[in-house]
Amino acid sequence: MNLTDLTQVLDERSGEPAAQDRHDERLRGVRAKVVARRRRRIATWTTCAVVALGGVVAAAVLPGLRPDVTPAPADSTSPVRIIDGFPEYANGARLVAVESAALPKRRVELTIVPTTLDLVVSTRCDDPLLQEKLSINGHDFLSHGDCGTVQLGSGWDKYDVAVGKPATFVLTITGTRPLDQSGEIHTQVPASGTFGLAIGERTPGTR
Amino acid sequence: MITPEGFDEFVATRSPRLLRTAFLLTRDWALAEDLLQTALARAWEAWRRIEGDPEPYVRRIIVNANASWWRRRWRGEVPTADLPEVAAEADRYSGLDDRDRLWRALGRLPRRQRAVLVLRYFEDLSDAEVAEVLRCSVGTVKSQASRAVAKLRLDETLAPEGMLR
Repeated sequence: MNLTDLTQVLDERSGEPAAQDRHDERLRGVRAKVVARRRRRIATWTTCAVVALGGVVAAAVLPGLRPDVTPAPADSTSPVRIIDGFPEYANGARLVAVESAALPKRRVELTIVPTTLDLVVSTRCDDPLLQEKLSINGHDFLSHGDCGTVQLGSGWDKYDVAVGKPATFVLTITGTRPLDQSGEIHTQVPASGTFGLAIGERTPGTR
Repeated sequence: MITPEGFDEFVATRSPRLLRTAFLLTRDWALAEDLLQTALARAWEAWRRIEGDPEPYVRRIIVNANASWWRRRWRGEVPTADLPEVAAEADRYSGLDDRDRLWRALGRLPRRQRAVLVLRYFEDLSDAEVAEVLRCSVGTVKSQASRAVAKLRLDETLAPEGMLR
């Protein structure tokens, strides 16, 4: 083989079909390819734009479609537990003893061993016009009157209440008061209804 | 669609030669026409940016597009159940002349080496121009050309200096 042969072979082999020189058809083919290339480019850009737009829309909409993982709030509006008609925590105190009774019974009694003299004594009645009397270790408590009072603070030592020593609290329903009268007007006690006595101890840091 | 100024004239005057180059690279007239039209379509869109003679630009597209087509299609053979008829001669090379054998040997060269030979011996480009088309160094062109010629000389179907063995 010599290089002259090579040049001749390349020249001869590529010169065969004279019919290949149809440049009008070639131009039509080129135009078609240009159009196809432009269409492909437009389609590519359109696809990119649609994908980008879809991403933006998804980013905006999907957070609203995601399931809410926030826990549902509890049905109860108050987390405080109610024990026998009294809240477990109230007036800065936690219940340590509760006793309730139903009319016609008129008396409830509670005995506790206080760990503090910072006590809170509460009473409750279905009928707030019921009249009550409270005695502590056999001593009449100072106040008499409508049921549902709350007694706070110190001074319990006057009733022989001491830390570590049993103390007895007695709530007695003495009668009821007509709505339009005040004072100690005792009338017939209703035949039904409940009342109760609760003793709490103030928790530290609530004073 | 408006044809860029001078494009029609370029196609009319230069495309026959470029088609021959495309044929020498692809060894198939239909494929060569497709390759040429693809290169011209790319040149169309860049026509206003081309400075000077557009032919080297189009030729470079042809060579590079052929290489990328080959990379994409070389495994794309379509299987067939019917094999082509085999020549009945005992000697498969009998009846072929030297140039036929050389043409076939050219077809067995790697594409890049064949492109170097086509550009060098058909387009009559210098090594620097071939390097420009192939986007490689002049040294690479020289080594590729040297290897291609050596392969042809060592081809068992070709005798030294064009003589049959």
